[in-house]
Amino acid sequence: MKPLPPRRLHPPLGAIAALLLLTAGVAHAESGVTEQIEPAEIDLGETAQLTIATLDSTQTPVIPPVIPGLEFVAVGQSSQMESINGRTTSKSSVVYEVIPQRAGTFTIPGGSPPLVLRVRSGGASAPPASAGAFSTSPAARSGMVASATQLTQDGSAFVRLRLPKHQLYVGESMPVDIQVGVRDGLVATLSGLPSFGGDSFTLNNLSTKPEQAPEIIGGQPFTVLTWHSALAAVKPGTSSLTIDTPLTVRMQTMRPSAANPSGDPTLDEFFNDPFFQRFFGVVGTTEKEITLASPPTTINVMALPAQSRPEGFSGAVGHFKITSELSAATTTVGDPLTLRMHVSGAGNFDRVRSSMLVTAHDWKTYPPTAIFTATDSTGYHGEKVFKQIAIAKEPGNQTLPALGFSYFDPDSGRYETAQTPPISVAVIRAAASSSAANGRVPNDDEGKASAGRFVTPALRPDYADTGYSVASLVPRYFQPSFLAVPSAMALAFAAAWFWLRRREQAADDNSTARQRATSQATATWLAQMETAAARGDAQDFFSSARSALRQTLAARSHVAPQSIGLEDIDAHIGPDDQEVRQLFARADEATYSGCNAVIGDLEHWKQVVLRQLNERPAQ
Amino acid sequence: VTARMTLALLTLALSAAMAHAASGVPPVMSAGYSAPRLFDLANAYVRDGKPGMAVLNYERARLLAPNDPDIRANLSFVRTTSGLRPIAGTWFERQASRFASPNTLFWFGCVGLLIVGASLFLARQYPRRRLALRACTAAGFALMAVTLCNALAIWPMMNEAVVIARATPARVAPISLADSLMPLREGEILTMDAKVRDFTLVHTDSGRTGWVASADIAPVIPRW
Repeated sequence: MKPLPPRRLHPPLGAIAALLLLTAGVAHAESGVTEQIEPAEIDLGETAQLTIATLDSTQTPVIPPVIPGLEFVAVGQSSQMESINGRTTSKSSVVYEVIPQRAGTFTIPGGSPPLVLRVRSGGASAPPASAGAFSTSPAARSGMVASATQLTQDGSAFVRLRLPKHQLYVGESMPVDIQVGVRDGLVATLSGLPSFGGDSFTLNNLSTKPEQAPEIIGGQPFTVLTWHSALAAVKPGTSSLTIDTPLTVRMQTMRPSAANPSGDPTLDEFFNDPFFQRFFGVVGTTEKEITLASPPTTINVMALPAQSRPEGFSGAVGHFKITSELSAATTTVGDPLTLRMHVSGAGNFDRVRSSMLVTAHDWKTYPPTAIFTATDSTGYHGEKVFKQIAIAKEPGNQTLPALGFSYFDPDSGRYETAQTPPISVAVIRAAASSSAANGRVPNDDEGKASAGRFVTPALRPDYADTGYSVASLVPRYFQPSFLAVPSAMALAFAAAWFWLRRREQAADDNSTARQRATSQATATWLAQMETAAARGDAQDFFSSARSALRQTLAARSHVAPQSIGLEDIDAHIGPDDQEVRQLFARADEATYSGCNAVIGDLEHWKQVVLRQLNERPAQ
Repeated sequence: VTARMTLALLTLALSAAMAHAASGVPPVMSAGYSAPRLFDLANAYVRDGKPGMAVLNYERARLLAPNDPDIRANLSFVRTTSGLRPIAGTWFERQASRFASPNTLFWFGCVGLLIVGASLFLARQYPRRRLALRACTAAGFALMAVTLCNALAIWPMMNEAVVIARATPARVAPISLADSLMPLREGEILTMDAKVRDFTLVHTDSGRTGWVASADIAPVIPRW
């Protein structure tokens, strides 16, 4: 028997092993070897633990026997030394995980009496963490059931699939482990990742870097690579699943002389010695591409029941629980709040969807966003957070309705609907504030800031729509319909200006005509006055002089010349113009009494008239 | 009597126009462009990883609300994260944008025109108040000058476009198989020149010229 390769034992396992040593039920007093298995009775799919302890470390380590239907996986090793009164004793123990591959009663020799392990059937579909099963390995802790280990023909490698169960519902995901074992000493490299054919399942989130652990199978040490992934069922039915893994194996080959025995056992042993073969170069290497396949695993996929399927069911299958929270318990009308719904648990999170609040009275809501955070490498366990912006429309004590989420529970085989309690919010009336502050939608950082932390957002938040809009982005300068406004105004002002100018021009023309007529009439009367003076006709002289002055005074006062007489002459002349009044009086006297004046007197009045006309132009 | 009626009508029209312009609230329309909508749309494009469409909508929102600090900040943020130059603009654009939007400035120009016309008219009728009315005329001309300068400053935007597609090449000719002159950044602002079939001749800020597929750019101001 070959010695066991050294194994590192984790402290808890070492403590368990030491405890088991102290409470060993079966002991080999003669050899100092004790063996114990716990529990002695398990279901198929569970594992037991075998502890082999030796009291003297100088003894040859004991390895478990090869028993068909049982697989032993070394999970830890510990050693302990004691020195009492100068006598030193040492204890070492190795812990194996015993994985049954079929039901039945197995006898593990080596002990006195031999250990017996009873494996009940029907354990494959049993709950993974059933009471009594002593599970210490990661696979055992997660309730994984390994398919049978089927070595290749030369016994150098294997591929197997670890599943928690063999029954699924359509859409359901479950974590799986894919294990590839290669016997120690065999040089092999992976040519690709494990895969499987068919369209009944999908393999999601396959880890790119496998875990590596040693394992004893059939008394041979193997190095086992383990990939974690999530297997999802796509369609109903019973399917057989086989995992293929490509490998490149480098094998040593011997030359014919070395490969063919000589017939002499002594010589054969000498020539087949590795040192001899390497020393004389009779060993060569060659690479070979092989594909390892796991034994087929039958999985039954059931369809989801159509009855009592809740409205809004999005295809989520698993075990979920939901909670909700609001960014603030008090808000102002128009101020946005962030409503969060947390969906946590295990299942197909890619099908976990929610529209949250679609219509809520007195609340304006926006479509939610979702972020998923996985807590394991396969994305089977985790939490999905939905965030939705809600803005209160009315003041008062408002209530955000309960949020619901429907999923299918594969254990109970029925649909479940989880609900959160309604959330009460005190909404106060908005005070007068800037329009920019009202109706703004916070981003994630602002939502956190409202909880008491200051965060500088990189992107400023959305605005609430104010309802105001324009039909075109073209500036009004360049829109013909708007350009008509200033154009019409300019035309109106130009027209008004033209009309005003025309009116003033017409007024000027009338004034000039009147002035010209006045001048002509005045000149006529002056000529007649000159003639009368030359004749010595006083009556005609004063009449002509009065008419000439009347023309000028009438033009200035904008009245008819005949309307100016002696009685109202004072209204048209100044207080110093008594000569004009006297002239009007002499004219009336000459007209009505026929007085005669001397030539010199007429010459005086002629000068008076000319002076008055020069001092008072018509305009 | 005619002069007094004209003065009353002008005063009424002036007061109405000034109240309209001062409020800055044009008639509400059922649908169309609005600064908040464009801003939200641009934010959505930023979150969706489309800086070109984000810059386009920020520029459009800035046209309607040029003195909005949030639009300016987010536009700067997107341009910076996209490796584009920060927004600059001329001194007049910056000052005018603090004052009012182009659409509001348009109404100020109309008010200025109204003041100029009314004051000239009244000065003719009331020569004794000619000095005060001439001051009004000067104020009206000042408003019209601001409006006119703003219109001239905005005029180049009528031909501006934003690159909305990733890895957009500017080609030497308006055909798909033509050699690429230079790559254009998504979100870069170009000046459109001519259009031939499905290609547009564009000029970059650095003065380079090339043909771009019309589907890869979008005008800042869509024509009516």
